[in-house]
Amino acid sequence: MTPGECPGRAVEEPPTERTTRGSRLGFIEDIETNIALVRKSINSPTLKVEFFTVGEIATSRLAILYLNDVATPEIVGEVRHRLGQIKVDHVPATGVLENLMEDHPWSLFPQAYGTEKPSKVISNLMEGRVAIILDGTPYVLLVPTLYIQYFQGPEDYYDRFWVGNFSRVLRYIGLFIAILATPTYIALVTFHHELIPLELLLAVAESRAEVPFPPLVEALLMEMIIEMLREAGLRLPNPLGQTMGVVGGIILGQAIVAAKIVSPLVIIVITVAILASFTIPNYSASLNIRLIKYPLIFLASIFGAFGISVGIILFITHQAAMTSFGVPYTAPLAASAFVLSMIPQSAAQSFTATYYVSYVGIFIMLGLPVFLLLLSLARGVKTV
Amino acid sequence: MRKVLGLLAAVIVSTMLASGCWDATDLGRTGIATAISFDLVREQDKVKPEDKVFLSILLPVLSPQTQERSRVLTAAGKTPGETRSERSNHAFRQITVSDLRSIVISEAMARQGVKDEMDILYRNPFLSYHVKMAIARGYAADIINLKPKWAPDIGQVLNNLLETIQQQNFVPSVTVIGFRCNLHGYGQNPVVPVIEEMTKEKDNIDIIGLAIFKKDRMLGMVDKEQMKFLTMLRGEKARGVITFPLKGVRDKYITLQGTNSRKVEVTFEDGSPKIKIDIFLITDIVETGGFMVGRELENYELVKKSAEDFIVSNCEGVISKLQLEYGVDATNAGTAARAKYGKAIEKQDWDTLFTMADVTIKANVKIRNHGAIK
Repeated sequence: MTPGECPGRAVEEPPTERTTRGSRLGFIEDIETNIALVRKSINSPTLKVEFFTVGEIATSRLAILYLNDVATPEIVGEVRHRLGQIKVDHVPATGVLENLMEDHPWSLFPQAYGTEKPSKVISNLMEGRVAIILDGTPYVLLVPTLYIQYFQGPEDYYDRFWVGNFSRVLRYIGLFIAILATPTYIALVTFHHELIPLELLLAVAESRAEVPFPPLVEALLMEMIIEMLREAGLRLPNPLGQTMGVVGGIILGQAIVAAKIVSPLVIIVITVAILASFTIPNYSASLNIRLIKYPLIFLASIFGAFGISVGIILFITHQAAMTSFGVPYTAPLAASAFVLSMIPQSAAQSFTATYYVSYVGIFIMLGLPVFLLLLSLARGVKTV
Repeated sequence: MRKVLGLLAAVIVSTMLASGCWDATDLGRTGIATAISFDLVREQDKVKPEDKVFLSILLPVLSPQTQERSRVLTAAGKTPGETRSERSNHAFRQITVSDLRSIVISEAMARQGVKDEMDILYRNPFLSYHVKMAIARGYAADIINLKPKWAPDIGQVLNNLLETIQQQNFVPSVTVIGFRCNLHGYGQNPVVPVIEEMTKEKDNIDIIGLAIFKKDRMLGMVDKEQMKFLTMLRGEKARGVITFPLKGVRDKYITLQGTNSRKVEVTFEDGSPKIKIDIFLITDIVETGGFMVGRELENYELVKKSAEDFIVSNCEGVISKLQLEYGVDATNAGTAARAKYGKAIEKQDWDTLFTMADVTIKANVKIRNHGAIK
């Protein structure tokens, strides 16, 4: 049997991108099949496929796909250039490829959109993006990437306008809840008691009175338990994974409250945060959102709402300064065509100016109102 | 890298300085004061012979294992400030005022002046804008020590009463911050609801009138009925009920429920002020005692006229009480004079001017949904 005759699995629905109403087709490990799945829908001579080889010892075939008349030649050229720069022994997965190609390798935020669905690849090619298919993995990368892209679900295009937009807004709300629920709880019970309605405050204080740990330890303990449950659920076979979820979620949750290790409100807050994180349709983005939460938790426990607002501004500033293959990562929220049109053409073309415009735009639109709101709410606790 | 580290260090240091992170207190280890009372100390409560002030703080009990839902922390001292150090010796928890909802001051103390008590409150920037004030007839600590069987603690009863009364019976909801504004504003004097333990329901409190202040010192009070009209005269937006006799119809009473507003105009004639107060009342009919208002337009006019006359006569009674008995302007008409005549008027004592003022009151009652066809 030659390597080309290796048996492969059949095309099936990707487990991390299930849809209710969308297409159920998913990529597999074979590059030829994956290209065929795309070409089946875009039967046009403008669809270009270019093959590359990556890896010095264990070589892998790689293909880039783009629409010749839609994709910007500069971006296609940049992809070619970056692929040519890769000098490693082996590229086992698209994650490694992503890390080797992206503009900001140390950033928390994903800069190449990964998907297993041909339908997503097709619609992104139509928008001028470049798809990178690596042999041996069903995960296809799409570049350049915008942050708002991670909040688009396949169902958005199957449902009616209102429903699709409602779902998208819900995901944005989910993003804020996933990131801010636990830090806000810590900030409220440590610094800003007066912001909680008195009746709820008394109930919270009563539940906290018998817990021996400070809110930071209490929340971190619960977050770690949930993270471990989630990780364990992934490794276990499907039926066992579900059992683990039930055992962990319900029995352990009840037992931990009864043992007075954490207060019931923490369980509610963390469960809501986790539920909200699952509304993000992209797996890489939801993993990243989980990580953003932790620095904010520490900032909230030390500085209260002020710390949260500083943390958010730092994250937004960082995001606003990022690019994906030369395209501002936060577009169209910042560095939009409108904003760029207001500054001289020569300045707009330079990357420095783009960063600057991105920073100012994002800061004014999101950072400043959040900062002012939290600052106005940030009143500490004082004794009589 | 050095630049990034420098920037990060600057952010951390500035955040530490700006956030006030040293104020952090764990909610589980905090005593949440929901109500506070100030009294002139009684002999039996004195710790030292020179003690003057007696402070009581109502703290909800946070442990679910105890039967008591609240405890009262007390302390005596020469000044309100000294009570803080005294009560710290047995406080058990760090007390916070950020969730304080009401403050009760005894009548005796209010008559001596409440400048010191207000001073310690104003100086606390964490005091909420919504903290309500009341004057207790008798000993204020007795009110704080009430243990109603039908509510978690008296703090909640007090909070709800002072918060909702504005929407029920033409009683102004007076906040500590509002009191301060009246205290320092030209031509203004504060009024505060007076509460008392109910004689019938031993574990409940009742609003019995409105205390009249000349700046920080209580002069006297108006009763429950006059309280409604003083609220209307002050223009404190409130909602309430008035019951009045129908003119020309024997033993027939009409009850209206509505919201009030007012307009004031101050002019000077021969050195003495002329004050014109227009009271507006938008009402619904609650009760007519069988009188069919809706049938004829004249009936509607009769009810309207009766209500307006009733309001005017009662307001005139309140004004004469303020002018002759207390010599103080509790209607805050001085603010209109200050707005019209500017700083020049501040040279004269408004309360003295008010006592010799010619006050004209006009009431405008609008009855909604009366049923008459024009």
